[in-house]
Amino acid sequence: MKFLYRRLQALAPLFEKGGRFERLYPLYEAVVTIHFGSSDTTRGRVQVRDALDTKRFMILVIIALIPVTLFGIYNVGYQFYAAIGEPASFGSMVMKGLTVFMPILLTSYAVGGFWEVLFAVVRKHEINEGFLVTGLLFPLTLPPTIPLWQVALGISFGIVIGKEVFGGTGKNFLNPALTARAFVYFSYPAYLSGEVWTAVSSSASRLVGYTSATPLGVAAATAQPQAVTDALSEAGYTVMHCMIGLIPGSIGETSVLLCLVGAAILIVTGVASWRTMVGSVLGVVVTATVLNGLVSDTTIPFLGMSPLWHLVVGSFAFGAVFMATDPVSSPDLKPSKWVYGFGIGVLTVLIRVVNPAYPEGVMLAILLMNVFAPLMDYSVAEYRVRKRIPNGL
Amino acid sequence: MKKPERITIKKVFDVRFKGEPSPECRVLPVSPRIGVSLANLPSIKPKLVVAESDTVVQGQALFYDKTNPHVYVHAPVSGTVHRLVYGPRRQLQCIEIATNSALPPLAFERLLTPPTSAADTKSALLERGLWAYWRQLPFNTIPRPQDTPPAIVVQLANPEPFHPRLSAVLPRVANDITAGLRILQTLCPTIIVVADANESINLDDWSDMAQVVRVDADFNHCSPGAAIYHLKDSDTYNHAWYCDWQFLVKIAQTFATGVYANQSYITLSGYSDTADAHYQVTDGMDLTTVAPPIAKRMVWGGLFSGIAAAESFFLPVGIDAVSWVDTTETVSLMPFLALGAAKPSFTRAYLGHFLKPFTPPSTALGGSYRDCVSCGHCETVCPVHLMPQSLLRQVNADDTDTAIRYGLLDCTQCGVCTYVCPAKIDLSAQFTATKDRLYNEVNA
Amino acid sequence: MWRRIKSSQAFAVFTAPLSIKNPVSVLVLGICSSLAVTIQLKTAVVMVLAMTVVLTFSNGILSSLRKIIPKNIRIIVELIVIASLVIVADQCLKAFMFDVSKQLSVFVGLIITNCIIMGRAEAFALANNPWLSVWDGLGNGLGYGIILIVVGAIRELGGAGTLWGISVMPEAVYDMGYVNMGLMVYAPAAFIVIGLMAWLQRTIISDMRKGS
Ligand code: SF4
Ligand code: SF4
Repeated sequence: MKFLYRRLQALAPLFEKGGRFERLYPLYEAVVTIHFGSSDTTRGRVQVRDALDTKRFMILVIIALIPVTLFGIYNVGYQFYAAIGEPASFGSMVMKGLTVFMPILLTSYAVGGFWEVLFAVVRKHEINEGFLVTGLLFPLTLPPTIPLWQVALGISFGIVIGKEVFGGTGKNFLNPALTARAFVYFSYPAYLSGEVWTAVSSSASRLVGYTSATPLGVAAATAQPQAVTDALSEAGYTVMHCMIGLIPGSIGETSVLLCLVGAAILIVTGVASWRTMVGSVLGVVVTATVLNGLVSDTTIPFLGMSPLWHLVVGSFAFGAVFMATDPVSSPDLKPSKWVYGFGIGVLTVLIRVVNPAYPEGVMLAILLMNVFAPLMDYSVAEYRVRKRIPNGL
Repeated sequence: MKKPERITIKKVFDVRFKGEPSPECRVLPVSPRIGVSLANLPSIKPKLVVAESDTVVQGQALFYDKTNPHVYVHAPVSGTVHRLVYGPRRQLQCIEIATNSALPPLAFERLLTPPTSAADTKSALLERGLWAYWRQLPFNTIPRPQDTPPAIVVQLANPEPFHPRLSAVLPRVANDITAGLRILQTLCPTIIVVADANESINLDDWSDMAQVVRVDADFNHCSPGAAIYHLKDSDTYNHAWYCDWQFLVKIAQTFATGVYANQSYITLSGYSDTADAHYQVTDGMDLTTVAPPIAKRMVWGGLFSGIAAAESFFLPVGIDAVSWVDTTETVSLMPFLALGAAKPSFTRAYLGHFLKPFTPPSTALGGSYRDCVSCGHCETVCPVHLMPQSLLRQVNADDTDTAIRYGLLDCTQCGVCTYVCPAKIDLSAQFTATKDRLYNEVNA
Repeated sequence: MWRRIKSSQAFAVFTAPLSIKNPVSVLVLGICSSLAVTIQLKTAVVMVLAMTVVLTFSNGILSSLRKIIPKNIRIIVELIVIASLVIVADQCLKAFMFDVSKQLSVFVGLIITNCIIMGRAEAFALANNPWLSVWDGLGNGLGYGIILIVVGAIRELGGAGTLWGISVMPEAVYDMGYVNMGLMVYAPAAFIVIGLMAWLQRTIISDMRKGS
């Protein structure tokens, strides 16, 4: 290992200023620091530094995502065999899931990585490890039926428009993974409408959808005399189902339970803010309760969906745990995190219920609140500054 | 001024480092050569009054500050000016003196009772070359003698690792501190003595002479700036003066004996288990006599606001701690995957946060430079309730007015925000640089 | 001959808005109509024509009147001239291209509030002679036009797979699984496309500046 490190170090002059591959320095830096960490030392007056760095930050998010990812892979296979009505072993389900998920993931990483490197080289800054998270988050929010070219377009849009135009990780105010997903959602609504989310491959090489409505699809489609809960149980959904997550849906978003495991990892390691998560749950509960009170014979039945159901269906859990808590696009200050989370919860329910054209409201809710995050920070900062005893010149 | 007996700064920051100097205090003889180094004299523009190979005696003026022409720095020992060391742009860096103990020190008038007026005290301090030890908030500069301090903060502790502990030497200096406080009383009615609540010292003797405050905080958080921030009830105290207990000892001894007091208490840390201790030394001593150079970074001051010493080994004026920091590069595969039980970790991201190991201080950056990821850690640790990340944005945008409104001048430059930043941004350096620039603009 | 044209002032006035002083992508004027009428190439082109005609004439007319317009009521005079021209343009469209005029709906009428027109009148026509002003109007109209037409083409191609209403995407592409990009039909797409163009253009301009 030491040997390898020395070899890499010996290559450094090639990539440093004046070297033959000077332009590719970001790539070299990324390779070395990914494997061995940075060998930089402190400058200035603070002689020692904490061990935490952004790589650790990102790796912890990825670790927190592993449970949902593995389960997602299994669930893709499970849904496939359930749809075609064949019994299958655990192994073949996982295999099936892998053959569907892996190409999506690899496309996302390859295309996302390409843009990241390109911008790093042109702009002469280091490659940011943030895209490792973006590149994993994005596929997890997609239905297994998604064509690969849409994945490629989506991640390109997310990385370039959602992040690089603003100057790269740290300067983006939108969550890149969500931007990518929003792009796909608005561009190709047929693939993400919540209707056709089980991967069934036909004899042709491309994937075609097999209709099996997701809980949100069922809820949005419920017509008047029937209550949402009845419609859901008729379609075979119980709260327990949605908690465990063996239901059709986006690859990584179905299991609320495993999202909670992820949340636990993120909170214990201090990477994500529990304030945002709790805030958004509160937002959902409060809004759904208020809306439940408004139910009458003339309103759509979706209005009467209970808070508990709102929490377990769709990608709310996934969004609140992994997307909303992205530190860069969420507000910095603690009070604004509460407001931000709460706003996400409120908007999620409102978008779901008030506009049944968008049964999945989390994504839009988070993106909207991302936009307001700087404003919240500004307000909180100004409030705090007012309370300071001034210290001027 | 608020009058609490105790301030608790609720900022959790308890990373622990190996190398705590032992409380034993050893006395070192004067080294054959000493150096008056300006490394820790911010804002002084020196004008020499001696030349190379002049003979000087203990207490004789060496140079004065061009911007503050009454402020002189005096020779701590008698001898011959051996060499004048200049840095880049012909900046005087150090005056080396070959010690000659046979020469008698300069005799000042002995003042057995404190002067009766502020003006007398000031001129006594100026005459004896003790003024350069004063500092003034918010720029940490040397105050102008003609000003009247709104308050004086006396620091009994500097809990940044690893400064001298008053408890290690208290019996030797207690009377001098009392006498020193008496002298300060003539300058200003508001004297605040700041002690570390975690250090057991009996402060009762001083509580009727000054407002005694115990600060319950971690690390550098009981700096004068932090204390003033938590105590002030109006903005007049923003320009308070401050000094540490060593200054009180110095003025008390000089006034009482009529001889320029040249002894200081310092700590060595991180050098070796046997050498890490408290020392009583002559100002400007040659450190190589007790700690010959080793393959570590030598730092004047503590770990969080020290100055990496270049080639000079003479203890600079006003420095009371010398730390050695490990520079060896440790290569490990994918270090960010480790559980990190032995890593210093402020956040819960590594096990080190829970186990709180004593780690040897190291210069490793522990990551690469990135843009701010808005993690908010810096805000969690700032002792004066700043929002360093917002402040940094204002500073980067050159919006100094907003930066000042956001409390830039309250920043104590403690460096804790820099320590915790996962993006490895040197926040405190940027704030310090901006403050220095502002100071120069204001005083241009 | 070419060299004489090239060095003339009119040429400079005419070409600047096409590139480094483009009203849309550099000065960010006239954005609202660019968002509204660029779903299809056809509407974009018609809009550009109407806009260019109005802009050229308004610049010319206002410039010839510039010495006799009292300063304190100049905005009203400008508005009257522009409004008359817009009404003429609108009526012509209604007469000869009724269906397109329906699609453009209020946006032809709203040319009157287009900031480029007022902007050029205030900033250029009132300070220069009619000859230069006409060239300036033409240049700005076409500068606006370039952007609109490119955006319109991109959006129509991406959103519907057609250009000028004619299907240009081969069937084979659809058979391979290609789907039209729904986002392109929404107004934000125009924002994004214009934004990307502005980005590209500014990068080129700043590179040019660095180079020279
Ligand atoms: S901003 Fe940083 S350096 Fe300044 S007081 Fe706060 S933590 Fe210390
Ligand atoms: S600690 Fe560093 S990365 Fe985190 S908010 Fe502060 S400046 Fe930004």
